[in-house]
Formats: sequence, structure tokens, C-alpha cells
Amino acid sequence: MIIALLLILPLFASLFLFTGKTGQQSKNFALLASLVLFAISLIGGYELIVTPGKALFSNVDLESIFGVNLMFKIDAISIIFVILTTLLVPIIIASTDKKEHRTPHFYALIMLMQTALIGVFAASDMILFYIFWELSLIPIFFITARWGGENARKISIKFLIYTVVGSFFMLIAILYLYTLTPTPHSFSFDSFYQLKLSYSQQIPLFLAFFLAFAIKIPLFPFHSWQVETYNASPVQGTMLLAGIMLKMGLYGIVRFLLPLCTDVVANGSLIFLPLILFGVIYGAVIAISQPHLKKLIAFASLSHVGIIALGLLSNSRYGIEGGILQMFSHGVNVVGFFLCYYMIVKRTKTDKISELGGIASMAPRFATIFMIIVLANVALPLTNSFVGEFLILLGLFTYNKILAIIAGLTIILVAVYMLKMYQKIMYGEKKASTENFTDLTFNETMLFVPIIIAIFAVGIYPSFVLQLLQGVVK
Amino acid sequence: MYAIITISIVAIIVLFFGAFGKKKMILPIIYVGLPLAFIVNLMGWNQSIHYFNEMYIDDNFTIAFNGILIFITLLIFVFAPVYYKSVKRPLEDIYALILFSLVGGLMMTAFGNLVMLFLGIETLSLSLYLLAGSKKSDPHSNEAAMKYFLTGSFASGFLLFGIALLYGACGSFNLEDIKLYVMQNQANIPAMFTIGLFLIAVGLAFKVGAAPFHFWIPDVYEGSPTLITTYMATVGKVAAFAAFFRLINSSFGEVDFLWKTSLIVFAAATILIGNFSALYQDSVKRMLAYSGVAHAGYMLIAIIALKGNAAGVLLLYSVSYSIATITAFAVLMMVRKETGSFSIKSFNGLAKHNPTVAFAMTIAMLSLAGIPPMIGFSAKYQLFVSAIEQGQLPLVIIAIIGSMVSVYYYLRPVVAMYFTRSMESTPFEAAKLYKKQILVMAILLIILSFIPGLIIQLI
Repeated sequence: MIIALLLILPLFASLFLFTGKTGQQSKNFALLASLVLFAISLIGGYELIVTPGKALFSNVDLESIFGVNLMFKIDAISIIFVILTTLLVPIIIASTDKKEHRTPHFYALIMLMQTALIGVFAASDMILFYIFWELSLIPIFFITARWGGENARKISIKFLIYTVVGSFFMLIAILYLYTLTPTPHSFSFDSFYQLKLSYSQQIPLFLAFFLAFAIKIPLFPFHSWQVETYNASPVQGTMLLAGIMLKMGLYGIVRFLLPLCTDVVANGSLIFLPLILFGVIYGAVIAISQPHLKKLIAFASLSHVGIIALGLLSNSRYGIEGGILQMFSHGVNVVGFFLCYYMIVKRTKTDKISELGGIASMAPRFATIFMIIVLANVALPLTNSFVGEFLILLGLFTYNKILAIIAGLTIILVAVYMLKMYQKIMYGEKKASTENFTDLTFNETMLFVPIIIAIFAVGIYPSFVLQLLQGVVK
Repeated sequence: MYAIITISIVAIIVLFFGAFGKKKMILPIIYVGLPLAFIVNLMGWNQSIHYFNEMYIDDNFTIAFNGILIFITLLIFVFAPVYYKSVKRPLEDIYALILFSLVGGLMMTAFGNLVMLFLGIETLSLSLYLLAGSKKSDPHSNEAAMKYFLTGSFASGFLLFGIALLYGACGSFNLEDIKLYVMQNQANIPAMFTIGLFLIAVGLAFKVGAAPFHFWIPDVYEGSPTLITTYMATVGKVAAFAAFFRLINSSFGEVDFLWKTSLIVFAAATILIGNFSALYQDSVKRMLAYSGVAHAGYMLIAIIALKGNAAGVLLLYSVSYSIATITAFAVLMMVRKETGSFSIKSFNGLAKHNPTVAFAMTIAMLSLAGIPPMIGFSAKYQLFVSAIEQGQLPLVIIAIIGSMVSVYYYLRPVVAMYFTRSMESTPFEAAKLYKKQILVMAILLIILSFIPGLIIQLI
């Protein structure tokens, strides 16, 4: 029931919005629908917490009509991402400024995107998963290309082709798995999990899946679409991409790579973990010298998701748990970060760090909020990232000490570029563009409230999430 | 059987009315006649009647494919009045020829005898040669007709030669007898039989437009009047595939070592050549022609997979390909009427003044590219599954690579429509004429996207 609502509601909202007349009404409607969805997903989360190990099911046998078995299952891992999606989408919708004059189609596409994202996290049939995975591309492609900045058209095509190529590799892997299942063949996750794959079968499977997910996440060296796309997309699109969509790739690692290719992950980690680690350092180093705020966030995000991937592939329980927790935290933090960026750009019309300065004295409320979000990104204790990154490093340490030490060092790099950026933007002399910087309005402050609650809630009391995961991560 | 008779009668009536100059009556007769033929066709469902000493077999396979062929033709006729709006003469010859070629197509799905196959192919092709050149004042149309006729009759020669050799080996044209012969002589198949089968395959590969026999497709498709191109690309192709499938399925399933390798090579080459050539086309019409070549490659996979539910898969693929192609061609007709060009540039900014049309084109392109959740994806995925169950993983990988490439060129019109500004700002005049019909096509495509399971289980 909950699953059906979670999928049908945004889909119908989206279809309804495509016929919408004015942007403002559409925004309110979309906001309302997404808040209702958030409430529904919380109910689902509550049910899972009350009875540990439980999962929500929804099986509709319509294969004779749809040609695909509609199998959905939300377990503890899924619900975290469903809640992440339903938490962030209302913020993203609400963040659009009145002056931007977005058409109803913009909100319709966001709702369609939400349908696809929830579908990805809730699907329990491989083809269904693939359908939603691909469906999520269509709205974000149109959002980026239609409302994006300079060169958005070319960049969005590059992005689309890049990710479609990646997901076709996944399709090959899915079909290959399908042939391995005992007759009658099946695409359901459970039938895949029951397979005993030999090492030589796991290798091609791992490569195909890893390529698809690495492009989506993105991991070094498949990241070349990411910074451009983030930069070209309107800020709402960037939030969708960075906050939720790239979690699809990480979710894929948790769902398929870890359970299906156990041996390859266990044996081969030393080959690809250094590569990922290199990407982490690479992103952080470039972020240090990045003159534009949006690109800085993009490179920081590249570095952060690399750390998550390290944790997931570190082949230890702590690493995986920390990785999943950190995925949630990163989604919240990066959206918060982009919101701060948006507030600055809205007022100053520039995101060049050198043209900003002295904001803190004029906008104390904004300075505090921005500080909290920056510290959450640096992974200070009591914020959400701390728990996740700590667990990841712990997991990595049990696996390989040298890797863990190098990864630990990147936290220093994060602090360097984050604090340097904060200092330059918020303190120092006022610049021409920041002279009339006004503090946040009430509505704008409200946008940050859920993010800050999430930062501290997970940071101070992470065990409710970890308990949820305990039964599932093995 | 009765569908063929109905359509022939309708065609003759159309000719008569044209001869007496009653222009207004012609299209209504067709609009009544084709649905009638559709219903008559359906009445034979589950009866499996064999006519004239196994010459014509009315089984469910026939009826399903004939239903689709009649339906597609009806959809094409929906666009006929707007396409020929400026033409004053009654056009009874063109309409009657389309109907006659449809009769040929219906015979091709139902043959039980190689002679019948040849008759069907010739009825379809001869009408199409004429139709390709039906725009008499246009040199491109003449060129297309000439090229089509020369290469097409050459291919028919191959086909006939192959049939003759098969007759020499087995002593019969009848598919059942050939099957019996194959069963008895499985161990020592004579060379004459193998060569004959190969020549038939070559002839049919030419008709479906599979590489390396696809060279006529781009020129003929581009030169012919767009309405006729639509007809060729849909009815012509689907009928030829149904014939190909029936031929292989009913007689040569046991000796797959004879044809499988060459068909796999054909299919792989067709997919790669079609998709890669389409990348470089600036004319949307030519791009759609190469896309038709590429899709022929995918449909060949259904024949290679043969066992299991390959017939249903071929049916689903035919539906998905045909409906999306008609939608795309309809938009193209409209754009051409307004801008006078098939170039991709003429699509620039279409979404701004004609959002409905742009939307229809977008979903048609997404469906052809095989992006979920459109029907094109379901069709491709079912196809890949059935092929992979027969152990054709390498071929499926090639097909998937082809699909990746295709995403790029199918998106080009979409990008032009939505994100490139046009010089003109006034809405298209032609849009008023086409809008409703194109919207119907788009809705049809969306509805079909939700019921692929129903289609695949028909046969």
C-alpha cells in the first residue's frame, strides 16, 4: 500500500502538472504532493523500525499486460534512500525563486524524477530497476538542457550519452545474470541472490556493473561529465543530481556488486581501491584552487562520494554501514551546500569566490547556517558526516592500513578547502557585489531547517539508522 | 483469406469511383473498407483454416500480422488527405495501388507454398515500384522508382532462383513437404538445397533491407513521396519479416546449422551499419531510413532466436517499430510542408510553437531508441531475452552497442526541437492540419507502452 502510494502519487502529480497553467500554483501543488510523500515514507520508515528485519512488499502480477513483473520491496536499505528522496525533493521544489518564473513543466519534471528515483530504490525486479534507472534520465536531461546555463544543451547531451552507455553495460550484465538463473528464468533480485557464481563468472559481471555505477556516481576516471553538468544545470537540477541521483550508483553497489560479486570485491579491492582513492585526493586538490563556488562544490562532491565508495568496497561491515549512512548524510549536506550557493548567487549574481567577501557581518543568520553546513561537510564530531566517515575509515583500516591512512589524510584537505572558501566568502572586506547582501528571509530560513535537523539528528544519535541496517548488512 | 478479398474489392471500387471522378467518395470508402477487412480478418481467429491445398494458411500468426498490416495501412491513410491536400486530381490510382500492395503483404504472411510467397512479394513490390515514382514531376521520385525497380527485380530473381533450386532438391513447393524432406535427409543435405536456401535468404534479406543488401534503402526512402516511404518502411518491412519468419519457422527449424551463422552475420552487420550510418545524416528522412535498416537487424534477431516465443516478440517489435516510425514520419511530413526541407535544421524551435507535435516526435524517438518506459524498450528487451535464452549473448551485446549509438542520433531532432532557437516565430500553418492526427498517434504509442505483455502473448 505504502509502496503503491509512493509511486503512484508523484506520477499522477507529474501528469497533472504537465497540464498546469501558472508556475506559482504548480509549485504549491508540487510542494504539497511532495510533503505528503514525505509523510508517507516516514510511516513506512516507522513500520520498519518497529519490527526489525521487516520489509514492505508490493507484488502486482501484471506480467501478462505490462510484460514486466511489478515487484517492489522496501527493506531497511531502501527506506533510507526513499526517505532521503522524499526529504530533499520538497526542499528542492520550495527553493525555486519566484523571480525565476519556472513553468509548470519544470515542477512536473521534478515530480517525474521523484517517481523514477523512488522506483529505483523500491524495485525488486531487475528489469523494473533498469526501467526506473533509465526513466530518471529523461526529466533531468530536460531540466538541464531547458533551464540550464551556458552550453547546457551540449553538456546535457554529453551527460545523457555518457550515462546511457554506462547503463547499457548494466543491461548486458542483467541479461547475463538472467541466463544463469535456473529455469524458469527470472529477473527478481531474490533469484539472483540465490545464485552461486563462480569466480570466472563474477569477473565480467563485476566489470559491467562497476562501469555502470562508476559512471553514475561518478568515480575517477569516469567523472568528466560531472563537473560540467553540475555547473550547467539549474541549481535545482544540480541538487537532484548531486543529492539523490548519484546515490543510485552507490545504491547499485550495495544491492548488486556486494552480494553478487563477493569474491571479486574481496580479492580485487587492492586493484581498484587505490584508483578510487586517487580520485578522492584529485577532487580535493582541485577543489582547493577552484575559483568558482559551484565548481568547488562539484569537486568536493566528487571527493566525498569517492570516500563512500571506498567504504562500501572495503569488504568490512563497518565500512558498508558507514558508507550507507554517509550516502544519506552526503545527500543532505550537498543539498544544503548548494542551497547556500543559491542564496549567495541570488543576491550577488556571481559565484566567483574572489568577488565575494564580508557577508558574515551583514547576514549573521546566513553565516551561522552556512557554518553548520560547512562543518558538516568537514565531518566535525556531532555532525552527520562524522559518524559515517569514521565508520568508513574504521572499515578501511581493518582492510588495509596504508589506504586508510591516506584516506584519513584527505579529511585534512577537505578542511583546507572548505574553511578557506568560507573565510574568503564570509569574512574579509566587502566587495562590490556583496555590499547590499540581505540576510535570509523567513521562507528561506525554513528551507534550511530540515537540513540542519537531519545533520544534527544523525550526528548525535546515529544508532537508529545503524540499528536499522544491522539486520541487513551481512 | 476473406480480408484479401475484401481489400481487393475495396481497391477496385476505389478505382471505379476515381474513373468516374467522384473524388469525395474515395477516402470514405477506404475508411469503411479497411476496418471491415480488419474485422473479417479477426473472424478467423483460432480456426486455422488452410485454403487451396495448403497454399494459404489462415492461422493465428497470419491473423495477428495481417491485423497489424491492415491497421498500419489505415493509420497511413489517416494522413493521406492532409498529405495530398494540394493535389486536385482524385488520386484513385495511388490509393488503389497501396491497397493492392497491402494484399500482397497479406499473402506474404500467410503463404504455405513457395509460389504463394513469390506471388505475395511480387504483388507488394510491383505496386511499391510504381508508388515510389508516383510524384511524376519530381526527379528524385523517378530516381527512387528506377533504383528500386532495378535492384528489387534483381533480388526477386535471386529469390526465384532459390525457390527453383529448392524445388529441384525436394520436388515440392509446399512448406510441409520441404519440412518432411529436411527431417528425412537431415544428415546429407545436398548442396543444391543449401544454395537454394541461401539464395532465398538473400532475396528476403534484400526485401527487409538487411545489410549487406540495404544499399537501395536510403536512396529509395529519401526519393519517394514521404507518405509512400512511411508505407514502405512499415508495411513493406513487417510483411517481409513475417514471411521470413514463417519460412524459416515452418520448414527449416531443424536445420538451423544451414542458415544460422549467415543470419547472425547479417543481423550484426545490419545493426552496426544501420546505426553508424545514421549518425552522419543531416536529413531526418535519410536518418529514419538508416534507422529502418538498423531495426531490420534487430528483427532478424527474432528469427535467429526462433524457438520459444519468438513469433510474439517479432509481433511486438513490429508494432512498436511501425507505430513509432509512422509518428516520426508524420511529423516529418508536417515539417517538410512548412519549411520545404527534410534537414534537421528545419526542426529547430518546433517545441516553442507546436508543443504537441514536438512531444509526439520526442516519444517516438525515445521509443525507437529503446529508452524505458516506452514500448520500444519492452520490445527490445523481450527480443534480447529470447535471443539470450538461445545462447546468443555476443549478438545481443552487439545489438546493445548499436542501441547505445542510436541514442545519439535519435536525440538530435529532440534537441533541435526543444533547445535550438528558430528563425521563424510564427506557428506552422501545416500544424493545424496534422496536429490532431499526430496527437492520436502519440496517445496510441503511450497506450501501447503499457500493454506490451498483451501483444506478445497473442501468438
